[in-house]
Amino acid sequence: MTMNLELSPDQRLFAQTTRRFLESEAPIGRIRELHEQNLGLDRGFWRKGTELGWTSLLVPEGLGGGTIGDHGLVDLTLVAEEMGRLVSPGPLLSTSVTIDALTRATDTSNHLPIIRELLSGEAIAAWVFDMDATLPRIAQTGLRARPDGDGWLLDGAATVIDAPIADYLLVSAQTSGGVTQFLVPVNTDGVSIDERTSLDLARRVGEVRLHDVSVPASAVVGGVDSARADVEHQLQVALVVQNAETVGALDRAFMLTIAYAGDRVAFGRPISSYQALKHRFADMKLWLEACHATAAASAYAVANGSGRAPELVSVAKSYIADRAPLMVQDCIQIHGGIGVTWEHDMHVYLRRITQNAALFGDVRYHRARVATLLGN
Amino acid sequence: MNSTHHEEVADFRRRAKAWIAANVPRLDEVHASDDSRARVATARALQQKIFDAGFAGITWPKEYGGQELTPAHMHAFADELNGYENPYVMLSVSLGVIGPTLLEIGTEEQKARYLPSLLRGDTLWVQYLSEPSGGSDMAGVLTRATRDGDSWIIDGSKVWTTFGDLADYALCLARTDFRVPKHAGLSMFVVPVDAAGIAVSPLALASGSSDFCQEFLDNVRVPADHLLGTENDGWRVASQLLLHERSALGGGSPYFSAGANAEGDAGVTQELSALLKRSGRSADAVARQLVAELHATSIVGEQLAARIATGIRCGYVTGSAGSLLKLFAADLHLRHSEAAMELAGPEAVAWFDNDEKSRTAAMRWLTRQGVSIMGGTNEIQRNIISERVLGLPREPAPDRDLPFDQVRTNRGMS
Repeated sequence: MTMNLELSPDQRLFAQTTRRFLESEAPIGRIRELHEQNLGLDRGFWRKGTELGWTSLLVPEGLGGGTIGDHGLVDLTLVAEEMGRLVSPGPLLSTSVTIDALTRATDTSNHLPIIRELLSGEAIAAWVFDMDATLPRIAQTGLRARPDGDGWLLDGAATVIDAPIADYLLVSAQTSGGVTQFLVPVNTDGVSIDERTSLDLARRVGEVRLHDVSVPASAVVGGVDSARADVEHQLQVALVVQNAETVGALDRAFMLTIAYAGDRVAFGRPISSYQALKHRFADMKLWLEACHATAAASAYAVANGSGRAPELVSVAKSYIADRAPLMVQDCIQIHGGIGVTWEHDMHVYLRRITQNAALFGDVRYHRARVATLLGN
Repeated sequence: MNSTHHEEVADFRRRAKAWIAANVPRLDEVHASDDSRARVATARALQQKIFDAGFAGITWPKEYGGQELTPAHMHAFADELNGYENPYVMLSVSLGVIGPTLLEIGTEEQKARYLPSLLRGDTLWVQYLSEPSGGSDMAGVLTRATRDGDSWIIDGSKVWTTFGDLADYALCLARTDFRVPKHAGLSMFVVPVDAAGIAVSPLALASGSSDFCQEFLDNVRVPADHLLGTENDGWRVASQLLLHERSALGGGSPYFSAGANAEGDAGVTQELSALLKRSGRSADAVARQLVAELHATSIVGEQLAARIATGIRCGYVTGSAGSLLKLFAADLHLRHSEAAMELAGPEAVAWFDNDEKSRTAAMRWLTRQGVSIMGGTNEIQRNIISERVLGLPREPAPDRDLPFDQVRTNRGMS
């Protein structure tokens, strides 16, 4: 709850309710347990989360959704930040992106039942897309769709978070005149999902392969050939959620480290009294506040539909992904040997933060995007 | 400040916009002089116009020449000045640091005597704080002030005074009691720079420029009513100065807003983009990444400033969080200096005189550490952040409770 400093009482209550729920249902020790027992996502946990409103924030009221404050996307960052704080499981990002795509489409009638399933947590969706398609000036993507009778045939492959637990795939594919998006049930013929080993313990990642996957015309989300702007908006939503999650995790890892350094004694004094560490904590506090600031500013830019939103999400991602992984490594260094053990929580944070830094465009990718947006 | 009956911000903004358009030169129409002394003169002339038009000291009391309006009015004026010549960067010490301190600590008589001319830019004020014997340890000043009847006699040396040779007045921190611990024996004085016994000499920097001065004070006599605050209460006054310095810099001051300044995101990005084009490396991924990194970092700096201002207002952090902004600005300057040198290439180490871009990059490089030193070094900012923002244990200070005349100092290192 520190990314946004000015919250309404309702937003504050919403964030606190989410925090209390996560602390009781998914404490960080439970993440290790689930992983050790090779258990997947507890669907009951996710459904309870949706009852708190996690999936309704980007859905218009007429379709069964609703926001807490002025912008559902800003409310969503409150959830993402809390989930980052405890490295929670749950397909918040994937579901939010899919809901964004489905509700932005001018004609939502085809997909109403699925919006309802996503809202209630009965179904989970994952976003199959190619990062290259979101770089300005690059139009090529490995995901393609071609007309086939009344319907379409889809081909291609991509690495997709939450794919192993998904019921539906939102596929952003190259079509002859642009980009078109499709909603595809995972059990459709020609869809295969190979699970990868995820660095993050609470998240499942898979390789989605589409081979001559036949879908009807009703699977199209939005307009044929005209989804490039939608894909850009989905990327912005993904980055806003991801950045909020990363700063939530980073904030918590930093606070745990400060507390540890205050308790841990060496040579007769708390190690946090040594200037060598105090100065590193000061630098980390600076970077942490800067990460909060840029995550929040870009969330508002996307929520307000600012013309600078494409630039500001990439500014935020490039800054956060540059700083956050090394900050957690330094937090581990300050913990000493205990910090690199399995039983300690630090690696759980390192895993989530490192995976977030790499997915949906890494530092280099987003700096390249910024350079192009600057007109250089 | 009286909050009833004042002009609506929107009306004020319209009036300000019209006045600025008619009276202030646009930045793209003027050629800013290289000579910082000429820039100070330009700033003073502009501040006089702003004062006469009723737009100076927007939140200051009317009796001292201010407008008694709200910070929202002040920010509106600064916003509207964006893109125009701006006096505030050159006059920030007078208007943003010393003026507010006088307002808070001066006697009625001192405020009436000094503030109107300070606000109009008629008098330029500087700070006599650092000494050759020490910069970071400001409470360790060795300059001595001795009471002599109705006046004080000041002896010592001060350094790093920005535009000291253009100044009319200085606030001078001096030791009035050597027998008590260091923080308890200081007093702050208003010193007219033309007083007998003051010698001001410009201090040439590594780049050859000399915006800073060193002053030698030899038996300088000031009347007793030039004491600001009470005798031996100088550390409180100095702390107030530092607080205003940080908040003026960070954009959180209720008395002063410099607006978006020329060194902001547009400045860094434009300079580096131009160097990228000139270098012929527009397609070089490494060079493009560098420009993007600096652009992103400067934007994050603005976002951080807005966050810290909000954070101080809503109690998330203390006023000391201004040190975060100082440290961020210093880091950005370090990276900016490096990036400009890298993109400028060999031309930045051997240039023709008409090549302003290369010269600028080279001169910035030579004094690259300046921003990391002045106004409190990065190391001091890190102490402040760790101790006063994060609440970590304080550094041991063996001199804190000792009478000052028993403290080990750098006496003689001037």
